[in-house]
Amino acid sequence: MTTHPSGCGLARSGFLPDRTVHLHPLDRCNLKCSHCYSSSSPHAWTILPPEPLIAALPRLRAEGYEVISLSGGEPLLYPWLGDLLAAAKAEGFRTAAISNGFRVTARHRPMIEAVDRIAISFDGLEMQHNAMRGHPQAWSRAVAALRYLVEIGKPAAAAFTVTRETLAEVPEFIEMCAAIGVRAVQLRPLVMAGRAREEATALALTEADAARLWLLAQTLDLAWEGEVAVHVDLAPAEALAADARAWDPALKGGIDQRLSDAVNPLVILPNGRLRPWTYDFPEEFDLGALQDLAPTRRAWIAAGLPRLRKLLARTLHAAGLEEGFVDWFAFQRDQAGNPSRAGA
Amino acid sequence: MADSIAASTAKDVQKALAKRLAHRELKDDVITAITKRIVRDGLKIGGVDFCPYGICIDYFSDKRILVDKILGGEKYRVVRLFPYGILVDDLWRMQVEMQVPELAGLGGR
Repeated sequence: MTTHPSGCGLARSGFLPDRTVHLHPLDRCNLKCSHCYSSSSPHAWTILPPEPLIAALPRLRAEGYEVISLSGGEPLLYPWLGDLLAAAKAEGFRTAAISNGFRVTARHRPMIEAVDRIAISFDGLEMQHNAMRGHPQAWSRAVAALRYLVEIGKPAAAAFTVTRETLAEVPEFIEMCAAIGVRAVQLRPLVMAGRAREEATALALTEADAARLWLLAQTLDLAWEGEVAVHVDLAPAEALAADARAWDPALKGGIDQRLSDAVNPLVILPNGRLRPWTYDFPEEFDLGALQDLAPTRRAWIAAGLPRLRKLLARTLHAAGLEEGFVDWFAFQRDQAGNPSRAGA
Repeated sequence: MADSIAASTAKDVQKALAKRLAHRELKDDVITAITKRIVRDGLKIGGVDFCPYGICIDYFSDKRILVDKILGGEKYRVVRLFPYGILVDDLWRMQVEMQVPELAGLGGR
């Protein structure tokens, strides 16, 4: 059995290194990016009140989750972020956040210090980034955020969404990150979800570009070894299928298994819904509401999990038949979106 | 001193190759063919390196590596196969070097 890298004694659950809650406490954002998978904007108002969220943390910890990964909307806009982070830390969670960088400034230092790891999101070099973000200062503020993280001694990381148009900009971006002192860059192929389905369909990577990006990431990781770690959210599909044992906890657990055995990551939406694996996973697979986690989890494991297992098994089988490179979570979502494959 | 100069030069070559990959100097069909050669039978790829004659790859496997199957259909320049170590005693590592003529010259500046 493959054990968990944290040394906590739990078996690995799925392809993530940690048992993670992807928390989207709000859909409000100060930007309105043309490709946003959560369709966030300054006019979005769905927000999760702090009481049920903080009350659920001990339960989530007992279910084996160990990392709270915050996104949004813009997580640094969440009004109760300080209380949430303090409560998460008290429960023994590690915390992470992804931000557009506008609030990663000295004014918000206590909140920034309270998050264990922050990554700043990018969509290209200056011209492309500002165009995607619809804001003329988006790039300069994001770069300033990276510089600020380095200045205060916080491990700085960047997440770069790669499109057909920004693929060529990746090497220069990594070079800039190295000059600033950024430790890690995650390359994320554009996912067709949320607003991207309407405004960015022409920007999706082709299959050949996905292969190109994978090879490029290997090259850059080697070229910048010791300075910037470069990771890409792509893997050979057949290698993922061959690593199916990572999903044993989800596929084989009994009625008393931890929720993190069955669902990793667990997504919490701004409306309090609990969803397996991705923000845009079909609603029909939802686990229920955050407030009802304790009383309904057993019922979901008995009734909802078998259907999810069936889908997971089919997805792993489909990966084995696939040639080329896939973003696993987008692949899972796509499989679920096809009713003939979802076991519906 | 000689080591640091050699390492620096290798990284420069890798950075130059990265720029050419990113600017699509290798056509789609060539990229697809190269990555198909790298992805072998579900083996986990631990790392890829580039050398003057092609690519060096580290594969990992926690099951029995079927050497005949891996070696079939591909002419490797060098193959090294060894157990990963005491900490993970069922993990095997296979290092191969293969010629990729399409990459020749791409690392130049």
